[in-house]
Amino acid sequence: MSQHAPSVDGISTATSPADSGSAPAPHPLVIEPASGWMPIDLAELRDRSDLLLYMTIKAVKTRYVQSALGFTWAFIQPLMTIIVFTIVFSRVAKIPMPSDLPYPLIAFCGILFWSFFAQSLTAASSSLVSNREMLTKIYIPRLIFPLSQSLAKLVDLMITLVLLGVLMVGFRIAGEPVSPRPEAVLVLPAMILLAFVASLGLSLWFSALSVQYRDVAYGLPFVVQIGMYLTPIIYSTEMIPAAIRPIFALNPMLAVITGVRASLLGPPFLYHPALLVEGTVVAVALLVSGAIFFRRSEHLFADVA
Amino acid sequence: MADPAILVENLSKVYRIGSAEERHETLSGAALGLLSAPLRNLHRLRSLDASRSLRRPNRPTPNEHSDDLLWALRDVSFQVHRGEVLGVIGRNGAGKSTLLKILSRVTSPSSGRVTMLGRVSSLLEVGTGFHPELTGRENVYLNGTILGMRKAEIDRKFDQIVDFSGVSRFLDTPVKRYSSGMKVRLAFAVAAHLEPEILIVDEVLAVGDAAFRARCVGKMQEVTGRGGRTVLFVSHDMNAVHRLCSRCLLLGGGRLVAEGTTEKVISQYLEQGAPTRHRYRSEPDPGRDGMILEIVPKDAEGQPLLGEIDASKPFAIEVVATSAAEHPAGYLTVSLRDRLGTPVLFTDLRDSAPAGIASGVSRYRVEFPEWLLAPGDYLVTVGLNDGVGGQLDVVRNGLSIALIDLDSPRGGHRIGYFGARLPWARVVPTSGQGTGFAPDPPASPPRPPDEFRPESRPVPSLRRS
Repeated sequence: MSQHAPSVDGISTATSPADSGSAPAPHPLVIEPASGWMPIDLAELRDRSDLLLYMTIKAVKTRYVQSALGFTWAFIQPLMTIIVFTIVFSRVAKIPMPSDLPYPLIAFCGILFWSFFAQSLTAASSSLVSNREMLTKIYIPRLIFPLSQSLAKLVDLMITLVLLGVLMVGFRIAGEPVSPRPEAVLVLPAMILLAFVASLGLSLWFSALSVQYRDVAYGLPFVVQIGMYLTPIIYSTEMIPAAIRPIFALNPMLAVITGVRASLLGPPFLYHPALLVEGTVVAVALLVSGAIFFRRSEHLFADVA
Repeated sequence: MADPAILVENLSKVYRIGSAEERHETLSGAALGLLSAPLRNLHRLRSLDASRSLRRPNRPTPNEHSDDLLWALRDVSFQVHRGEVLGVIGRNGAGKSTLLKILSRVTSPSSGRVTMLGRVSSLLEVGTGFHPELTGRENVYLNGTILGMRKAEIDRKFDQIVDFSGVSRFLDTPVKRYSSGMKVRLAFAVAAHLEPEILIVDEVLAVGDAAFRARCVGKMQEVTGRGGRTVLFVSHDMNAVHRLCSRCLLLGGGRLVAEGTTEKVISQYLEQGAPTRHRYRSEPDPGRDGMILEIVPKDAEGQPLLGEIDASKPFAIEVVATSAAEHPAGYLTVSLRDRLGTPVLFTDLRDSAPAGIASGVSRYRVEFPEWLLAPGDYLVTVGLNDGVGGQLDVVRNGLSIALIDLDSPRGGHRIGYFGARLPWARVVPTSGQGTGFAPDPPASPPRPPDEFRPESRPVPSLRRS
């Protein structure tokens, strides 16, 4: 390496970083100042997939630890919500649903996905700040913090989906006309994916922002609460005036819940393809822009957290 | 410069330290300030990103102050060769932690670049990522993957890790019920079974008791002894650095101060904060009653000794002092301390001369006979007293003198502070005179005791620590 000329203090300075290739360099890792736009390092994420797995397991396991009811809480929370909603919105406020199906079933389809979205958003958005101990001591791909939190909430969603299945079978046995459309087998996973993409995309924005601006942590509960009323949970998509539906559909969760109800409950719930496309586009845009923003601010996390 | 494993080029890191809050003198000013607070806060939070102002140096933000920026590292370049164990030392705030954080990718540099060839793992703190609610077993997997291992790798090494930690009975107990010692042992066991090509270690040895620390150093030596493993080791424990590292970097104020063999760099580190100058000089200050103007060691011929001093020859310390008035009871003192601040010798003008400080500039001289002091570095403190309870001036550790031994078989390898050549003799027992001092001169001329020559060189700078 003749290019490396020793300087006055005996410190060697590389005059030409691009060497002639004498050193066998299997994976030269180059650390440089963060420079504006960089793509997400997907290869690195794949390399650390075991880490993602254990971080997700940790997030799932530590949630209900040392509680008597344990995982039962994952059922109790949506179940209680549905009971309260049924009493308040169906019996007291008498919100008319377009279908003859029982109100709890219709509302449950919405609550399930909304609570996944809300919990995933809340947990993932605070994941960087709450892991600052780790963030400032050791390097792991930072994306793993919000990603593992979102994945853990996805596990919860799967559990509560079982509850929805039980509810559907129960109502059917009770003589209600519960008949999912056959394509639900495909539509449901797609809607789960859409909800995941939307929540992760927004979480990437919020988690990166909250490192520098703690305002995010204070504002987020309001966003979640207001968002719940702007999403067709206690009412249906069809009840939104057609003229302003495209505005409401900027919220990707509208597309998710519309798709879930149309596939699982059947007519009169419709797919509204235009709304689904709009929601999907917004969700993907959130994820891509969130990933870019996250990556862009990543270099600051350890210094500012 | 063959085969570097880590190449650091002109690395700098700048942090922004928060500037003082604005203060308002009037109520209306405070009210106005309150209204504009969110905007100001936003600006302040944005400016936490120090690289922003570096990226656009010619567009300073309104409240830009250069003293607002803290250079944790400035233009540091070095190389670490494959298989080398490099120590990094320096005082608190010297930039060690920042350097390690950049190398382990926790934070990114403001400028410069680092190239690393090989799989990198860092132990900035053992047990990072341990979750108290998870069991020992779960934490081994979690911590292992955090440190960069794959699940299959941990599966393979699991028994070894558990054996090393000695907590096998409690594997399925939540870690929060562990004693802190057990926690550290388990965490270190995981870390010790990493097999990176480049290992970055910071203060791991600061935790645990002495026995555990010894075991950690042992494990590190075993790991590094196998070869091929490049280690960057940061510690305040000079003994550990000396045992583990062949080469050392000394950082100070974010810059690379020295680089070289561990012995050389450690002694330089120990000298920091103490002067290395061999002559003290001060400008006269007319406002003062009395002042020490100059301190300089001189040889028997009166020539200044500005380098090392041969311990086999007498030398003197000369002090030039000025006094506005005459102090008939006045006197000077000279004291010597070693590098660690231990007093070695104290001498007073009145020990061998009449008291009295004349007005005006006077020159004083105290003589040190040959072989009084053991070879080594001494710091000189000089005091000027008026003799009636007042100290006119004192120069603490104003200069250092370095005594070397050039002509005895032991050379510089002598502990303690005394250098006196004591009379030795071979006492040959004869009948009736088996005890006591031998009255006769020895039968053979005295020879240097070869058998007492040290086999290996101890570290000169550590011999008194």
